[in-house]
Amino acid sequence: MIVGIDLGTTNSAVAVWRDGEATLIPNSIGDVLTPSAVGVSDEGAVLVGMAARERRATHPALTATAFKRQIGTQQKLQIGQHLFSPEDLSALVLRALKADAEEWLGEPVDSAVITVPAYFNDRQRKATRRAGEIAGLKVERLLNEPTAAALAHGIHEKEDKNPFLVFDLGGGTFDVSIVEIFEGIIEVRASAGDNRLGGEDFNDVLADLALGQFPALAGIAHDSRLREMMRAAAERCRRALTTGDPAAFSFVWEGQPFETAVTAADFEAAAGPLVARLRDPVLRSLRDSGVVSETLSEVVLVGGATRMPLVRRAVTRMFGRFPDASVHPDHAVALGAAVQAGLRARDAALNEIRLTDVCPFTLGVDTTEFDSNGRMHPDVFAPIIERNTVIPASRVHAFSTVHDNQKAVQFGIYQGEARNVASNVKLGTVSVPVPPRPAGRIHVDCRFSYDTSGLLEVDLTVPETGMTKQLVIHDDEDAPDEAELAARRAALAGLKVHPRDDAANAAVLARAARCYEFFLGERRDHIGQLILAFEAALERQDPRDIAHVRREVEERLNALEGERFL
Amino acid sequence: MSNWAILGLEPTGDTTAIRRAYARKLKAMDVDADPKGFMALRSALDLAVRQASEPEPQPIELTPGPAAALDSSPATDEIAEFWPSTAGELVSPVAERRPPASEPAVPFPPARTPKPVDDHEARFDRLAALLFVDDETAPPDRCALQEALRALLDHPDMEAIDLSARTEARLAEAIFHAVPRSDAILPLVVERFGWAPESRAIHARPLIVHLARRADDLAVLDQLSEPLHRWHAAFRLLQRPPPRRIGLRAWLGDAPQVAQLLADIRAHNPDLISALDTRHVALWDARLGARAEQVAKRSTSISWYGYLIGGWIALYAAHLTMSLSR
Repeated sequence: MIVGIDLGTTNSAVAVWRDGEATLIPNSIGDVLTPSAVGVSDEGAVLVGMAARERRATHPALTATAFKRQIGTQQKLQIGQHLFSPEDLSALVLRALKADAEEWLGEPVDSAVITVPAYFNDRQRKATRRAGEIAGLKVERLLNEPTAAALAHGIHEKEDKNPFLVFDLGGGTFDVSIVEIFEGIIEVRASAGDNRLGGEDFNDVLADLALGQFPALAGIAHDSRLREMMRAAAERCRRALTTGDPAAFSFVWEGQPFETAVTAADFEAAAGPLVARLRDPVLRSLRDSGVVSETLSEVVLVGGATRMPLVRRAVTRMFGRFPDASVHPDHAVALGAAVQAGLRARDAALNEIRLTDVCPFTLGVDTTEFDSNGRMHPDVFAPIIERNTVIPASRVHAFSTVHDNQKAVQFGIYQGEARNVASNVKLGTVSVPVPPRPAGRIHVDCRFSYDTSGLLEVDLTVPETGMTKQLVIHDDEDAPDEAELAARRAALAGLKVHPRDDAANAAVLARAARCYEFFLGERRDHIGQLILAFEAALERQDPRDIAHVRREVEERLNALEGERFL
Repeated sequence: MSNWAILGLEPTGDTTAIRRAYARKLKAMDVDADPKGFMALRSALDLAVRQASEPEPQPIELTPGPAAALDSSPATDEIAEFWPSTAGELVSPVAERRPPASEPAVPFPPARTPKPVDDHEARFDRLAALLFVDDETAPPDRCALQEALRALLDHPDMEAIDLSARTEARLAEAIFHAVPRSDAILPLVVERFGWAPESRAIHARPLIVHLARRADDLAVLDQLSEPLHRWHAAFRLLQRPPPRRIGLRAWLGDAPQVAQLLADIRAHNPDLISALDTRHVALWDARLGARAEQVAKRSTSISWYGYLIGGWIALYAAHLTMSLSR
């Protein structure tokens, strides 16, 4: 069975194509969204999802969130006794989603379509694929998030459709895609993005804004526990600002209550630079696709951060019209991934639908150029696959030697848009030996092949010697081989994991513990009693009793701090 | 196999039919299993669409449609080639003007959309009136120019992405045609539209690259005009007409500064060379070049000495071993 997985910065979701439609799969606590959070409980067991996210504010050293922002880097995250790579953490989330899907479907799930931000680079894509493999999933395809959203949106369109724009502002990344539908072909015309811009950045802005109101905290502004406390408060405040103005920004720090009100206007002013960064990818995708915003049939908003009124206002001003809100911003990507999974499985209901995507950035090699004065300019980027080329694609360019009797030709492989390769992302190096000849006499053909998952292969050929060299980009960090992957899979499998059927209890307990820290006085005592009662119920081990007390605790907590949100 | 055969179509100029054929063929294949087949199909589509539009080229619209307004590059290619002769104006703004090949009316195609763009047009025209004046020798009113620019750019209308893109392209042309009068607003516009980062990109529009470079040149010129700048003296010196010969005092005092200044300008702001006195620069180049040659010569003679001494030592050592073995 193939499932579609939206592996998000803040939340993840899993969906499946069944009986001619895409359906979201609920997790063990009944939600269709699972927070992308991993933690370690006090007993040393690994927690994934809601329970881990609730513990972020109270146990920052035992919790990791938003690790998608570090995927593809060498950074390791310390959680309690364990040292995890962002890949491992993503793998733990994927494994939890896989278990949820298997439970719900009643059959084993062995492969998945996983979504990635369109503007994820080659390294980030490879790391995501590895995370899937570590989780025991065959990754059938990496699908771009805005493309997935377009698929979920376009699958019901029977008619041809003018280009529309998908505006996808998630927790950590921002993508824009221009998509067109004709004759059942859903065609991405252009994508652009910023892989370091998302809802989390807006939270940081809000936290900094509030921090300015508390001079007492200025000295310890970088304390990680305070930072997490404020981030949690910022998330609440940001959500409150979507419905009311001003909204309270409140939290408790070392027994002291801190409270201030943030107005929407202040937040909008502080977030100005972030909003300004939304324009450039929009402009670029329009320019690249040759589409004028007036002729767009609609603007589709995707991603939780597009709920913010200030983002909606900015979009409205940008396009001179109200955006389309027909797709669910949190569900569209996972549903689209499920559609792609159905396409992969060649489901009959999808016979008349095809999808083509593009490569959103330019791929090329470094070269040396000579100017009119005969001066050498090394490190000039020579594009081979231009951005927004339809994929899969394969392009070849010929290069020649620069020096007399050169022994080898080496190519640095880069991804990016800058003329100077130093400003682009380096993906690897490949070299091929050549026979000694005067400069310019030896030609080397350099072929780039880019597949539908956005993974790159490079082939070098020297026609003179017939020598060829193939390279599946070896990252600067050495890509692990199959044995190493198996070892890591085993290591993760060996971790003590909090039992899945206890996830709901763990989540409520973690939430109660966080609320205990958030409130003072009578209310704190009240929460303390709730925790005691719940723990007593857990001791008694009567499932019906536990469920009853849990509901009771949840209701009390809802009354205290408002509905739980995802 | 021809692209028409791949598409399964008779050659036609009907793009809809071509796309329909492409869709039919695409549905019949499994892209993941046959990427090569897809690539062939896709290039057949691209080629067919190109051929379909070739035999009857679209008549060129005089008022550019929205798509044309967004992409200003074709027009600016020609302009960019036109450019080098005007670099001299960096320093003497009012001296030799380029022949007025461009009427001020050319860069401003009439607006198409009514309201609220009309007000926007009025704001643009106000700026244009300040850029293109009848008396070109009159010094530009920097304050008024900057004020008119701010009124244009800071207006909420400009948040609309299309209008902003169109205005950017038109501003670029207007600024280009109004050099050097437009120098007063150039840095502001470069900053606002992010032209400096764009000029470093591989797909940058030629006109934008050119204007960003000019803005950078102007900034460097400003810095060099500061008396405290370390190359200020050398810069002033090279702006003056050359002396008959470079005296020993000047040579000893100024040579390092002049050499560094020239090297830096040539590496980063080549257009600025025209801000200096050509013959004076040539004189220094000759002297500096001669010195560089001398240094090179000296190092070769040193190596000759090296060989000589080495030879002597070798001979002496041979002599010693011979006498020892005997």
